[in-house]
Amino acid sequence: MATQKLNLLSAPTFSWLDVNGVERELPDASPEIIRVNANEDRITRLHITGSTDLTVQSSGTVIMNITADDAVLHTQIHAGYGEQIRLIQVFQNGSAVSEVTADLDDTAHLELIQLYLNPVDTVSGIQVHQNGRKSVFTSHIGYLLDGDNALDINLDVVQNGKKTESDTDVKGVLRGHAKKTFRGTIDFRNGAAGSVGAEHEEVLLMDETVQNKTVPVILCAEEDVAGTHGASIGQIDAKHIFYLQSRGIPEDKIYEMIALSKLGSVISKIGDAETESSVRKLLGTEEEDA
Amino acid sequence: MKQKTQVADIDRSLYDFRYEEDAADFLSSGITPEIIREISEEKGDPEWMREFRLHALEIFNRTKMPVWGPPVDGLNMDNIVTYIRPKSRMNSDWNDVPENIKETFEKLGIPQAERESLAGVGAQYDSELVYHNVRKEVAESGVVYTDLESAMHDPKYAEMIRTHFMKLVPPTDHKFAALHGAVWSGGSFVYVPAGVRLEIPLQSYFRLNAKGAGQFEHTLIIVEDNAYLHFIEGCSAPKYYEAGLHAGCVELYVGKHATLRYSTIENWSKNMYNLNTKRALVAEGGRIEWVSGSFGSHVSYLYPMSILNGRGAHAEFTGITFAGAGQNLDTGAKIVHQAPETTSHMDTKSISKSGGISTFRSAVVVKENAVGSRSSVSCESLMLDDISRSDTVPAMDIRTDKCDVGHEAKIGRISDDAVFYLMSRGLDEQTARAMIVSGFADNVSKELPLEYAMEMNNLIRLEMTGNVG
Repeated sequence: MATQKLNLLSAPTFSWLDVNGVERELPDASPEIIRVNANEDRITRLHITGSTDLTVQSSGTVIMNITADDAVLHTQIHAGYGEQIRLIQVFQNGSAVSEVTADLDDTAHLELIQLYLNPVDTVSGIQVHQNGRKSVFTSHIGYLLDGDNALDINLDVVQNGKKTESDTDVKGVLRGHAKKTFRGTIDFRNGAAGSVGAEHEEVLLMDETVQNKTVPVILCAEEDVAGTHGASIGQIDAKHIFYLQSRGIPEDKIYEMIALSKLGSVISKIGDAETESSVRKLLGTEEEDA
Repeated sequence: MKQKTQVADIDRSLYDFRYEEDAADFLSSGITPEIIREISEEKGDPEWMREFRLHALEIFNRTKMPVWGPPVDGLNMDNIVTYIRPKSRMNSDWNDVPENIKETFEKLGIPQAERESLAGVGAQYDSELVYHNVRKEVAESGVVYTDLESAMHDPKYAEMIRTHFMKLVPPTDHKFAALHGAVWSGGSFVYVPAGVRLEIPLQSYFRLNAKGAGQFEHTLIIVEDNAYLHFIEGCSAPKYYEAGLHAGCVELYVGKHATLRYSTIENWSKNMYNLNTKRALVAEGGRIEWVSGSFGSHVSYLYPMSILNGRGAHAEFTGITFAGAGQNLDTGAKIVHQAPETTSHMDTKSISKSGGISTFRSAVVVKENAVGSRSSVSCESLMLDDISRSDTVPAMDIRTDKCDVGHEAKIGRISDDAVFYLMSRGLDEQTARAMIVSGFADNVSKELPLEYAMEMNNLIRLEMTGNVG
């Protein structure tokens, strides 16, 4: 086991906030090497149970169902000219250190969907380099964390190419003593003229003992860009509760419904009925949706 | 081809005049126990303060530089003169102030402002206050506005100073807080008794004239329950080739249901390292309102902190930062909610041009007991060319479910749509662009008294020209 500092914040800030990175011991196990030449017409499904090095190239969809414990996952993506790659990662239970690195050439499009379904302790880093002109990166990230579980995410989107677009939407629910840190950076490099980047996180806090840290960063060295980020953290709006109560729904059921609806919007982006169904089964929402 | 707006650098001729150094006492540069003892002796410190300074020096020597923020490599502490006493002792009659110092402050408009719009004024030149005055009726209401050293030696306030001095910003806070604790000199003490509402502001103005020097003034303000105070501070220095250092400290205590508005227009010269620390502790139902314009300095680290310590306490931060050529201004605010039903709002703007770097940095912390609290942060950055830089680094740490925290940030250039809209209303393009850029600073100027808003607008002096492609 070797201790490493992971998920380093792109622009370090006040040390006392303890958000500049996270330390974890990494297991020494040799990873399984997987190379996927995705195919536009089919979906590649992978069940990941241990340390893995995965390389994805060419257009297509790859779905990773991750149930590994003490595993280290490296996922490397290269989207060539005009290629469209969809990567879907579903993290369940277990604990993992995951890193996704992606390079996008001209007009390439990467769509990343990540769902964290109450993993015990997961550190997840995502590095996207939009070097190509008019490359597009979209991501939908959802998490549900309960008990003493912990999640640490660092998303770093570097927009180098001209007229690139990035859009990140994060939705999550924290319960019990759960701890979550989300760092999200939009990094407009000099030369990225005409680029736009957006990032938004919505966090629903459901117990008084949760801990949420959110650090949305914009770095900008180019004039002709438009970047926005937003975060909304808190409890369920009392007006929503009142409305649903007036429709005869009990209060505890309302909390459950609203919490799951947060993730529902991310699940619906998966676009694969089999995976969506298994995720909903895990969340216990399949019947209601049927 | 897209057109670019040209925004002129701030005209500094008003601030860049200087006089040959004419001080009575220059201590050696650098920071050693001997120098600290000399400062302490010069100022006639009580024993506890002498010990405090020496202890702070030990902390300074063992504390590392921050691992974040702009580089401070150009600052050589061995070259900084930490104490310079001007020839004049403090006066309460303007006529007794030496001619060149008087002329300095007259050029900066301080006596005129005192006559027209202030309840009291303090003027610090290098390391010491040279003038302090408060209107008779204000003094009669029980308001105390004096230099910190006098208050420390006054039996009526000595214990108050001892129990409050560097309690909010302890020397262990960071390296430059420790430095401040060791070498502080000058600054103001303000005490507003319970129930007294001072409707016209007090102002302190800090001027650093000597080259290669540091200014380390300490401002301590105590606003008792149900009282109101607006305090304005201004600062400037002429430009030298040697780096200067400003490591002041501001500690504000806001009582129950009291309000303190603290406005700053900072215009240090572009060789200055502005490593200032400001902090407020707000009791139940109290309000702290920070209004901040940062225009000067080579490097700034400036993040006023509000600690909302009583139920229903409120903090507001409104700021603008203008970073031009050679400037790296790292500014923002920190708010800690540590009582129920506390509220806060930050509204900041920054402009970067001619290679300037501006960074908005913030922290919002909602602690476990801050149930029912709300916070919102809005920051907006304007890039005026592609050789500048603008970064936004906010952080939120939330430890209770019963709260609402919102954050939004936007970065971009002057909107073509807005220019088009104004042109469709009959304005020419140049006027339309000028209007948009100057309107960008409105969040701060509308929060300042009229005279100061005008000064700020003069300071920005946004000049627009045509196209350069």
